[in-house]
Amino acid sequence: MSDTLLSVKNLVVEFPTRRGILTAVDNVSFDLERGEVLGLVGESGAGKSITGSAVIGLIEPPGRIAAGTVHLAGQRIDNLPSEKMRRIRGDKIGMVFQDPLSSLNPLYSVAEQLVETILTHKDISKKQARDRAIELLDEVGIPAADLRIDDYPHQFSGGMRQRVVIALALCADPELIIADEPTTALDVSVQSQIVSVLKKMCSEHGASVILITHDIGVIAEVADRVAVLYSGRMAEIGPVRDVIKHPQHPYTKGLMGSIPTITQEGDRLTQIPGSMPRLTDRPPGCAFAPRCEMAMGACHQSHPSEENVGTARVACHLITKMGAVA
Amino acid sequence: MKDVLVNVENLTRIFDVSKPWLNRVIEREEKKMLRAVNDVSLEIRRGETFALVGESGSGKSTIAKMIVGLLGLSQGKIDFDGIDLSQPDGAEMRALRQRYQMIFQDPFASLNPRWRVNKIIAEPLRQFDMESSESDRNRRVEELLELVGMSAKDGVKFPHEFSGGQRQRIAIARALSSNPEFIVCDEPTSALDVSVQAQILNLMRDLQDELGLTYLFISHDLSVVRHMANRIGVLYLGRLVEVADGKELFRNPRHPYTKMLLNAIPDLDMTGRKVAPPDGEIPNPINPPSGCTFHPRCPIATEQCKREIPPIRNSDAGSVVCFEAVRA
Repeated sequence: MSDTLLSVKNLVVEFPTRRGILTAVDNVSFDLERGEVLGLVGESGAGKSITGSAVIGLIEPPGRIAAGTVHLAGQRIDNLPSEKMRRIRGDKIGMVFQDPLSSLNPLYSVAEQLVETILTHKDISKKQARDRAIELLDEVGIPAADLRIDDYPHQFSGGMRQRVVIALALCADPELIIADEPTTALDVSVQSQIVSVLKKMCSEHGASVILITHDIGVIAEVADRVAVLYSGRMAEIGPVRDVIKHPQHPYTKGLMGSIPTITQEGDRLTQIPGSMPRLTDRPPGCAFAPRCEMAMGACHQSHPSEENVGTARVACHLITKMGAVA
Repeated sequence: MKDVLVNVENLTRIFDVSKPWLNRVIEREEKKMLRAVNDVSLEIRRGETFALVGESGSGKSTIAKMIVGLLGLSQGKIDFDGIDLSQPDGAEMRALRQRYQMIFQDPFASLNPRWRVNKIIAEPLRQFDMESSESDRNRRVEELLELVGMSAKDGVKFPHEFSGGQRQRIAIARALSSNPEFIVCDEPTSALDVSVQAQILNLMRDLQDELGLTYLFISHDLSVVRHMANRIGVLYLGRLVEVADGKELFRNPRHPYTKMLLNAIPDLDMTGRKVAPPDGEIPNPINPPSGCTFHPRCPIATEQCKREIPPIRNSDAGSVVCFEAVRA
């Protein structure tokens, strides 16, 4: 039985500018089940972070959600007044950002920040809150948590700080965690530590995670399903194994070929010519068509609809046409 | 015979990171020294790509800067094509400078935003008086732009009109304009998206084949390094812990730190491989651990590792700095 926690339908996010309206996210839909990790990948400017912010109602004006709905546990949350949304964000959604230094207040010790957050959401004594904070730090793998809790953020290293941020996100036992590039600022060896902490925490706390990253390696390690965004639109979404091993969309294929791996043979990487179009001059039809080797007439005229291909959902005219033939 | 283009011997760089004199007197503190690069020796052969990998703080960029002369040496010696770089002065040094160039990590910071692209690319030509007339220079700039896969017409634009990948192409064109033999590339693709990274890496390899360039390629990304390098040096806390042929390092890593790094690479083949994430983090280089600096994180460390600094052991496969790896 499917138990859907978050349901995003036909989400459109627009930013009015002097030169007209920019559609940063164009008709994106996905569901997230309880306990599931969904990866959002794409190049810079593909709309990954904006999608994440839209879900939690943190789009900076003048940007706005122009169409579509977001449901969290059956409740519609995209049209709530800001005060109500703030409560939901605090109680049900945790955030982990890219730069751990800027998501912690440098003037307060880690203990103060954790205890304050716990007390805001839970009706317990200060002493209990502190014990809970130490427990959380211990869970995310900070050695000697009971001593280090009184340290200030600058006394922690990058990896340790990101652990603190994860602990902070878990304070209110959220149902949904949005992790926006959580490992990008970290070294490779530390990155794999954080990835495994994240994985462990969501399985133990039963939280669902939206993991936003440009690093497909991280997605391969953690995510259950992955959504590939291109120029604000969904190119392909499906179980992580299928999308990585058998990509359907030409963009996903090119993307997988362009990643150097340690087992790869041969000298040249597959390269996708050109670069992603700016949002101001997105071509009519499929946004990927100008870079696509297999583009046909239809690709330049209309935007393909999303079709189910096996376990995945793909937006590509090739699939629509081929599906009819095969 | 090995044809060595750049030979680095016992390179050391010490930074003074102590507080100002008055604070030291009042707080009775000693001077604090940071050894960013510690006794590194390596040789880069003509026509090869030598890669340096390591985590942040391991001294990769410091070595790059010392080789191109942006930072002075504390100890040691760098030979370029048999000439000791500390020796020549004036005109001789200028002639040498033409022969090596650098590509930086951030293509947004390394191009002057107020100059047009053709002025940026022609800068080394003007510096070294390479083309006599203005029209020759313009022709050369157009050639270079086309060489790196851009249009000759792009020369009149400003850097802000280009995307990250295109800017990195401009930076490469600038580096190539003085016809160098040796290019130091400091994380040239880490600011780029993967699909653009693939374009730049392919371009760099094509240029190497075409122009016979030698690269010192610096990166923290082992899979990129595997793709680019003939030989790889692994740095840890300013020390070179292992040097090996590219493919050999991945097939048969010998130093425990190299093994740890290889294990940390995400598994894109989805083999379902389970690995324990590595222990600990890179220590503070101001107070490095005694003996072998890797011993607090090393799974096979012994008492000896805590006390003594392991010597460099050379073999056919390369060199490794570890007591246990040599014994095994």
